[in-house]
Amino acid sequence: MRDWSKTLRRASFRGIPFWVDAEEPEVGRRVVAHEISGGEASLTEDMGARTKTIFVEAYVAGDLADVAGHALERACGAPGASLLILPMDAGEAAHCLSCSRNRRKDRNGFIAYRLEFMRAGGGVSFAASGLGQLRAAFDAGVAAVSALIAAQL
Amino acid sequence: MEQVLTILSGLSRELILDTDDLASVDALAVAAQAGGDSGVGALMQLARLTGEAAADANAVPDAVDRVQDETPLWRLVALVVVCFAVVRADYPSRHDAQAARSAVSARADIVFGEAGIYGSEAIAWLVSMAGVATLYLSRTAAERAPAVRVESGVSLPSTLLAYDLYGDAGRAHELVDRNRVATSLVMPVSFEAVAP
Repeated sequence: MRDWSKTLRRASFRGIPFWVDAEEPEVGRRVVAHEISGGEASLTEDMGARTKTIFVEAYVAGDLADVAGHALERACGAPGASLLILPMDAGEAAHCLSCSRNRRKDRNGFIAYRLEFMRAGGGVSFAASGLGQLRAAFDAGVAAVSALIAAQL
Repeated sequence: MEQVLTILSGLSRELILDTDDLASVDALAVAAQAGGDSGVGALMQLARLTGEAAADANAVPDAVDRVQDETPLWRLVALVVVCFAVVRADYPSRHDAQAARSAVSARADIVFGEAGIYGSEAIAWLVSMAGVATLYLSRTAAERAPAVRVESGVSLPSTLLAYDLYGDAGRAHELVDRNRVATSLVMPVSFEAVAP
């Protein structure tokens, strides 16, 4: 049988790791129902994909739970989208909409968080601009190729 | 090499308007005249700068195509210029991005065939750059609204059509530019528009 604890990813946002108690991604379509007066059937219209939102019940635990918790709060408060990795999802760019802490006196060393994310749209993708990648591809080979071309001239 | 450098310098001075970038163009052109490895390297950097710093990135492929030179080196340099220009250009509709992607692939196919004389490393370098550019264009195409043909039945002013289509009369110039209409007050009865 599959060993789930070994095959799931360690969750993180902006590179700050956390443990996941529950994750609830929401995907779907924006569908409008046109209910026409006097009509017996309603018309439905698909208006496109709904923006994916992800609720995560996260926690940090251990002797350094307070430090790990503060790091997670700072990562969630930083501006801009960043990489969100969840146990069963590959990383995707997401904005953190809210991060609420839940610490209880009878559970010392365990800090729970309620996180809310929204998938980032194309215009704000981080470090994925075509120009940056193209510059990297150009710089990777320009010296060697220039020498090859010069040898043929 | 000298001929390609002359063409590229002329092209960069035509496309680039920024003073700092023009100073870089002069420096690279002087470096390229030295010839040898460093000269070709400077030529390639000049090609990159031309695509990257052109004031109107959308105009670059047409400007490159106007050049009458059929040498393999020019076509290779032109591919570098176009790759950098297309990732900066604006594509209002899916159709525009797809057309740009087809144009880049067609241009790259010719260059890949000719670049064999420079060795496999040169081909791999060109494939990686054209790959990044086409991948970016595919992603852009997926995010843009498709272009549609609008039939109005009667000639109407572009501002009224823009208001009817998008609820924003300010987008009238988009319709005029896209259809290359000279008379914006009387638009054709059938024209192309970005899907509302």
